[in-house]
Amino acid sequence: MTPTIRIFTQALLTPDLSFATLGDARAVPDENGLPRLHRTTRFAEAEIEWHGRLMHGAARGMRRVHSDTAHLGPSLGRQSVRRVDLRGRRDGIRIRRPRQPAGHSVAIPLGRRFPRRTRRSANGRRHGPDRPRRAFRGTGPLRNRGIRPRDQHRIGSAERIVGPIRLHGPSADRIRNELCSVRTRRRPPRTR
Amino acid sequence: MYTQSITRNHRTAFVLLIDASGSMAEETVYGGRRMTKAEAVTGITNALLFELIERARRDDGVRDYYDIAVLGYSGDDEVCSLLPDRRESLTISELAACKATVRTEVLPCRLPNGEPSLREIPSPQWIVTKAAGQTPMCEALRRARDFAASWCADPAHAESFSPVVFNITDGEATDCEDDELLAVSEQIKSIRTADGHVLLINIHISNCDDHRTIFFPSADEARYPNRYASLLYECSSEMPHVFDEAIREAKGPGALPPFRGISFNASAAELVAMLNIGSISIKTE
Repeated sequence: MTPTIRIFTQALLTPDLSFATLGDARAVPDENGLPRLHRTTRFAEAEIEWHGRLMHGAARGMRRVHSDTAHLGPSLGRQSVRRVDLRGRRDGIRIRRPRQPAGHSVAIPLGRRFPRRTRRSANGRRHGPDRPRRAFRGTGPLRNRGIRPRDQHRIGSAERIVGPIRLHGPSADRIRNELCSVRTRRRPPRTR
Repeated sequence: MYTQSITRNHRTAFVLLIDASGSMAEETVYGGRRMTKAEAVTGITNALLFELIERARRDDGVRDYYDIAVLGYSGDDEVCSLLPDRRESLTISELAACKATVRTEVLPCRLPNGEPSLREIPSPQWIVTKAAGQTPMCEALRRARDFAASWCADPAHAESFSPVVFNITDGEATDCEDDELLAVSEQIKSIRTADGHVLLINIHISNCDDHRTIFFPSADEARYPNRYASLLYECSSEMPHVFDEAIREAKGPGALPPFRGISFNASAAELVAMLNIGSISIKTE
């Protein structure tokens, strides 16, 4: 089997048949109900929602599932934990086609985002979208490189911006968990 | 040869010839599901167009890496464009901008307990094929020959990756003898850019009991049980050696070149992905 973007799309549309760990994930759809795809230098990515979190359906995002599943294990229950079978690879993801045995999966290597178009301001300086850059300034291991404005999600009264953030460095887990908890926290009721 | 990167300055062309004759109303098994050959051809065509559009997609939209022509052949020597507004060809961005009908595709699957089941998923559809009348395949190949010749003659395409012609058929031409079909196929294969000759790839759909999928066969695999197999094999391009490694990787180390550009009950999108045609950026090794 040769991995095509179409097969990847089918897998995202039938996650319970195609993914072990991400069986209850949901790809963020476009207006036609198809997963919203982004091309990378190797293959394609899609934004997926899994247990209330948004992440990229690419290698980096799916590797997070390993640690997240371990983290969430007790709350998911034994049944869900037993289903964890993601064969995570450092250099990519694996997808499995329906009706094929579990061992028969294809590897999709890790790709890089295509370079974003940069804008030039009146004085000739190159710059990307300002808003996320300002929002992430000073947050240490967070990088906004490669994140487009349309990928940002405003949350909470303070309108903090989170999105498919790429995490680097030793404190990445702590910050990621913090961001996830912010995302899932409900807005407190207004008091009159 | 066949090494030119496909870019907006050096785009390539895909020509799809779609058999829409009466014999396409017969049933076959494709992708594990029983359907008419016309449904299988519609699925193959739209899957290929989807793959090509997504391969050309970047952050700033779909880039014009290829021109697309889709010709249907049916009726009484009736060969016409199946593209919107009957245009002879579209750039891939123009095709992506066309409003696709979203149909429901049924996937056979197995539930966790092993029971067979069906799952419905949305699938975009740009082309709809029918099943009526005769099979003017020779006329369709002549039209593809003329399109490829004029495309290659354009100075803007002189150094481009050569056009690829996919002929999706059940093999039953009614407007010519075998030698005529071979002759026009040879004419197509002789057209070239500086990077190589036009590739003619036959996608053979059959309703025989053999549900195997065969792609890029070597000479000893060409005798699959179908009366049109050897003719279509002869009509198809011999795959350039630059693709040998990719084909062997897909078929297994035992496969020996030369390989022919023909498939039996296989998807065209998978062939494109195997050869890594259509985007320099997709590398799956």
